[in-house]
Amino acid sequence: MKRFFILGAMILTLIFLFSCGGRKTPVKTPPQTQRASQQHETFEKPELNFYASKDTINRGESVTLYWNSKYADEVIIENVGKYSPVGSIDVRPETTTEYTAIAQGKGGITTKSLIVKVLQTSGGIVEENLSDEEIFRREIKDVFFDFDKYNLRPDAVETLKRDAYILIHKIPNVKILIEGHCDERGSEEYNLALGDKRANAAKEFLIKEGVDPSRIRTISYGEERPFDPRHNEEAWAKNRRAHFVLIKEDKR
Amino acid sequence: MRRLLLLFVLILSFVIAIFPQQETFVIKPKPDQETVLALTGFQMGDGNQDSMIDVYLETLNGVLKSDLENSGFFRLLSPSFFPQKGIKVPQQLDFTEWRDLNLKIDYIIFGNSKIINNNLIVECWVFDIKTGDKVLGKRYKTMPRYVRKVAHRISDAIVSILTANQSFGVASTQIVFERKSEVGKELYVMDYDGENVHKLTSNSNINLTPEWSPDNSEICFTSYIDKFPGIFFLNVLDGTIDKLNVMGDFLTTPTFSPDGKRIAFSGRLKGSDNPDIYICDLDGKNLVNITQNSGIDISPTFSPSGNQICFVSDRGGSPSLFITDIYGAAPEKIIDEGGYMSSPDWSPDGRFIAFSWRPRGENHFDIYIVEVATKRVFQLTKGQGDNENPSWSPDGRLIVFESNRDGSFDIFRMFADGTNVVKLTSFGGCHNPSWSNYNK
Repeated sequence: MKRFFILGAMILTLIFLFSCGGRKTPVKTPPQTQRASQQHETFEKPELNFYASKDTINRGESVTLYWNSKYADEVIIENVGKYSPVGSIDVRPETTTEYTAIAQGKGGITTKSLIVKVLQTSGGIVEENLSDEEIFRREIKDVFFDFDKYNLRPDAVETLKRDAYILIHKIPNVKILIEGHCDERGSEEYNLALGDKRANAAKEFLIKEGVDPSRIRTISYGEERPFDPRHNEEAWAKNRRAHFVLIKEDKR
Repeated sequence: MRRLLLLFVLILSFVIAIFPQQETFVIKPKPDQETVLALTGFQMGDGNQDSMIDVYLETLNGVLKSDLENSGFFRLLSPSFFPQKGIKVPQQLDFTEWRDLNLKIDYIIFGNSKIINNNLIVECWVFDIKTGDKVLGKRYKTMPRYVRKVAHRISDAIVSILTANQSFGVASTQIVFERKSEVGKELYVMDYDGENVHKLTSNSNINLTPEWSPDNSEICFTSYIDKFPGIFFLNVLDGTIDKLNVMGDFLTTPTFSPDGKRIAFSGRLKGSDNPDIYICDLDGKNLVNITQNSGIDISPTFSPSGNQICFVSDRGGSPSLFITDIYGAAPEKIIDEGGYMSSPDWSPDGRFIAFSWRPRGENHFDIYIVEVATKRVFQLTKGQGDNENPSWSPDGRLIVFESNRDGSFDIFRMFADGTNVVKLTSFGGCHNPSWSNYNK
C-alpha cells in the first residue's frame, strides 16, 4: 500500500514537472469539435454595399449599379433581376428611379436602396463629355488587403476586374501609378516590402486582365502615408490598400 | 523499493535535462568582480581666467560620472567615503589614506580644468590605488563649448585602458534616427546619451532606415526625394547627398559591409516582381543578387566577417530571420517559432543577432537576441508596449531601440541583457535608431 502511495506521488511529481518545465508556449484552447460548432452555428445577417457609378444621368445614358455582399447567397435587384453576391449591371432608366437591392442569406435579408436621377432634356440625348481624369476619379476603385498579406481577396479581384475594364475600354490613354500602403502595426522596414508586393499584386492582375504593362508603375509607401491616421481596426483596414493614382503627363 | 527510487531519480534528472531553466543573459560583471572607481571630481585649475569655469566643471563631472556608470564596467564609490577631497594634481594624492580604507577601491580618477585665452584645458589622471601606478595622464585643450565631448573622451580613454581594450568606450559615439515631420520623416543625429540633437536632412520628404558607414563619415538611407524609394548616401561632414547608381522603383534598407566598400540592400529591380537582397559596390557596380524567392526579402545585416548576411523573409509564411552567405548559399531559417520577426542587427563580436519579434499570439513587438551558434533566444524587453528596431553599440554591450512605452515612439538605450533602460528622446515620433561605430 505504502509503495503504491509513493509511486503515485512520484508520478504526480513527474506530471507536474512535465507540465511546468516546458517551453513558454502559450496554452492553446483546444479547437472546437465539428459537432460542437455545428450545434452552435449561427448565420450572420448579410452585409451589403450597393452603389451606382453616377447619381445623375441624362436621359438615354446608362448607369452601372455595383454591389458586394457578405454572408449572402444571392442579391436581387428589384425589377431588374437576380444575381450573385458580388457584381454589377448596366441599367438605362427612362426616368428618375429608385433601385433596391436585397441580399438574401441564411442569416436573413438586408436591403439597400439608391436613387438615380434622370435629367429629361428637350432635344433628346445630351452627351456628357467626361475627361479621362473625371472617369478615373469616379470609376477606378482602390483594393484592400488583410493584415500582413499581399494576396488579392475575392472582393479585390472583383474590383480589379472592373478597374481593368475601365482602363482598357473607357480611358485607354491614361497611365497609372499604383501605391502600396500598409497599416502601422507591422514593422516599418518590412512594411516597405509589403507595400511593394501589394502594389505589384494589383499591377500583375491588371496586366493579366489585358492592361498594357507600360501604362502601370508602382510605388510602395509602407506605413508612411496612412489614409486614416487613427489607431484602430477601422483605420488599419482602410490603410491596407493598393491606391490608384493617375499619372499626369506633360501634353505638348 | 530502492530500485523504484533510483528509477525515479533517473527520470527526474532526465526531465530536468530536457527542460532547462530559461537562462538569463548577463552583461554586467558580478559584484565581487566589479572594478570600483573613486571619481573625486575635477577641480578648478591654477590660472583660470573665466568665472564660468564652475559651470564647465559641473558639466565635466556630471557627464564623466554618467558615462562611466553607463559603460556597465564599473561601480562608482559614493563621494561621502572619500578620505581626501580637492585633488588637483598627482602630488596631492595620498595613497596611504585611500589604501587604509576597507573600500576595495581599485582606481582613483582626479584632475583639474581651467579656461585660459578662451580655451578649455582639462588635465586628468587615473591611478591604481593598490600598486600606486599611474594608469592614465591626459591633457585636453579645446573650445569651452566642447566640454561634453571632453568628458566623453576621458570616459572612453578610461574604459579602453581599464578593460584592456575589451571596449574602446561608446561615450563619444552617436545615434542616428528618424523623426516624423509634417510631411514625412527626417533624419536626426544625437550623442549616445541623447544630448546634442541635430537635424541631418531637410528635404521635406520621407527619409528612412539610416545606417552608418564603418568610419562614420557617411550614412546610407532610404529616401523618396526622387519620388520612388531609393538608396542615398549622406556625407555627415558637409551634408551632401549622393544617390546609389542602381536602377529600380524599389530600393531600401541599405547597410554597409564591415570593410565599408560594399552595401547590401533590398530591391525590386527591373524585371523582378518581388524584393530580393542584393550586394554592390558603393558606385553601384558589381551588382550581385544574393537571394531569389517569390516573396519578400528585406532588412539585410552583415556578420562582422562580412561573409554572411542575416535578413528577413516571408518564405516560410510569416516574416522570419534567415542567414545566408554572400555567395548566395541556400538561406537557413534561424528560429523555427512563428510570429512576426523584423529588423535584425548582427552584434559586433558576431555572437548574437538582435531583432524585434511579435511571437504568435502576442500583441506587441519586443527586443530579442539570438545566439547564432546555438540558436538560443533571450528576451530583453517585456510588457512595455512595442519595442522595435534594435541596434548594437560598437562594443556590443548596449542596444538602442525604439519604444512606445510612454505613448508615442521614442528612442531608448539599455544594456544588452535588458537592464538599465534609459530614455534618450522625448519628442515622440522617433524611429529606427542606428548606433555609430567607434569615433577614434
